[in-house]
Amino acid sequence: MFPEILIAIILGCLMGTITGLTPGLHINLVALILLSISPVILGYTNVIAVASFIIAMSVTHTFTDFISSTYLGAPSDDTALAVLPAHRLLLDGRGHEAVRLTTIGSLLCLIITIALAPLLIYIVPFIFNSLKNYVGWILLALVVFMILREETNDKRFWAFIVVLLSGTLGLVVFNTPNLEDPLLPMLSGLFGVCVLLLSLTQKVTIPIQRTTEMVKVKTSNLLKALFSGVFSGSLVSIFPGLGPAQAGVLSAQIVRKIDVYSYLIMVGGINTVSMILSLITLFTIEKARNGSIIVVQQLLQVINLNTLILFLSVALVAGGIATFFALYVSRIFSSIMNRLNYSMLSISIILFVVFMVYYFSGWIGLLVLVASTSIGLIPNIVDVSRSNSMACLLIPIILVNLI
Amino acid sequence: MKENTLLKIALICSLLGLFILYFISTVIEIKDYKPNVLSNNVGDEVKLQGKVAKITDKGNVVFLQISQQATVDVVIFSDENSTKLRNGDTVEIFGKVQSYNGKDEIIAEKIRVIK
Repeated sequence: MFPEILIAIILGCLMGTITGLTPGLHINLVALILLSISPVILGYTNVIAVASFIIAMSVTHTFTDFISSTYLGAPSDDTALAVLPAHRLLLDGRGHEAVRLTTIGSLLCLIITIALAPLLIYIVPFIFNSLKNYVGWILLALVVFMILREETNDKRFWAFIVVLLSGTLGLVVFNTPNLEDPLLPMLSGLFGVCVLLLSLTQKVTIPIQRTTEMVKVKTSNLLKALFSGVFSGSLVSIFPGLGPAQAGVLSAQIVRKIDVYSYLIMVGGINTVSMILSLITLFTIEKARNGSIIVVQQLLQVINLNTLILFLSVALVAGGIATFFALYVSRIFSSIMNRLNYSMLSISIILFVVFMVYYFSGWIGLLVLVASTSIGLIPNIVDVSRSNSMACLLIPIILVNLI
Repeated sequence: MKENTLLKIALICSLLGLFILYFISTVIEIKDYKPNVLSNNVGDEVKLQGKVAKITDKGNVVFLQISQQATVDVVIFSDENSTKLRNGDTVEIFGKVQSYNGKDEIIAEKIRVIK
């Protein structure tokens, strides 16, 4: 069986690189497609190999999805928070550095989580039980804090407006019947298309990208970032409804003195940690917290300790391979960016996102995209933090928890 | 952290993973898996979406096979709606899961064609 698993891992890593690089493609969507074709694959191989393929793909996806966020400015909801700092580094000619940082976060957090797995198996249910009644209040405090954090009263007012508008948008979008993949149009608009539009109107030119290693992160900051990455990732996999973005906002507030480089390391880690921990929660509380792990659960029904160890080692191998892939692809992007016309690139990405939204979410999706793009432009115009737009996810969860 | 250091860590990580994988894969056993989505839900009200794969019309009762990741058997006690169904339609079904002669199936209460 070893050779089969090995082939599955390599294929999974290749597939994960492709899905990670596709702008706006979320891993849950990929999982859904996999679920529908799994009977076909099962005809050729065994269920463990298929599950290994899915895990390798998901892990690789969490490494590579920052590449499209960084170079193309197109986020998925997992990377929305990283887009802005990563994009800033890109405009500074240091796109590769941004990817290097998120990759450091992904790989190291992966290793830490797997090393801590024996401990986490006991801690996870404990945290889950002691915090589950307060999630709404904690997130509400977070939103209030995000608004008050702005410097002047005028900006606080606008931050409040942005929170109100994005929150309302979130509520409407989640309650729209027959709207599939609601996150895709909403987050693409709030964090992707509007940034691309602005760079078009401001005639942003991407400077020559250098694959330098100028960024040095202090060990203490690195540790802080890794700790917050593991912490936030744990929150995501423990609480239903809490996404990487909310957990990231939460952690970023807790370790507020974190610099932008450590921040990228942290955000890079969150998704990977939550993916690994979902495997562990599947074993401990028999709950699958994300799309691809649900597919694994459907395939295997129950997983025992041996299977868990097997899957964690699959993740370990995949993480190592994904690091090579991510850095290699990032270098390719870096060299291509120098030769590309960025305006043309922005326009093609916007068109691609529009196409994806239409394909997956239909006409209503396009309407949502227009609305969210318009709201997404406000933070720039009034100069408040774009992370206020995260209210589109926070407000609905707060209301569900408090009412 | 230098890129070279990162790559070295990645290499060690992969090798270690392969090492554990090699040993654990010798002790793991594979069960034959046939997806049966329904067995956990007998008695539950469920909502199901999928493509109509086969229609067997027996007059007052219509049997459907809905393909999801596996085919799901659906029974409709006939009304005029069910006779309009065609193979390849994507439908949404509300109903109750029931075990009949050892097979799990959904007794449809409401059925709606989406595409």
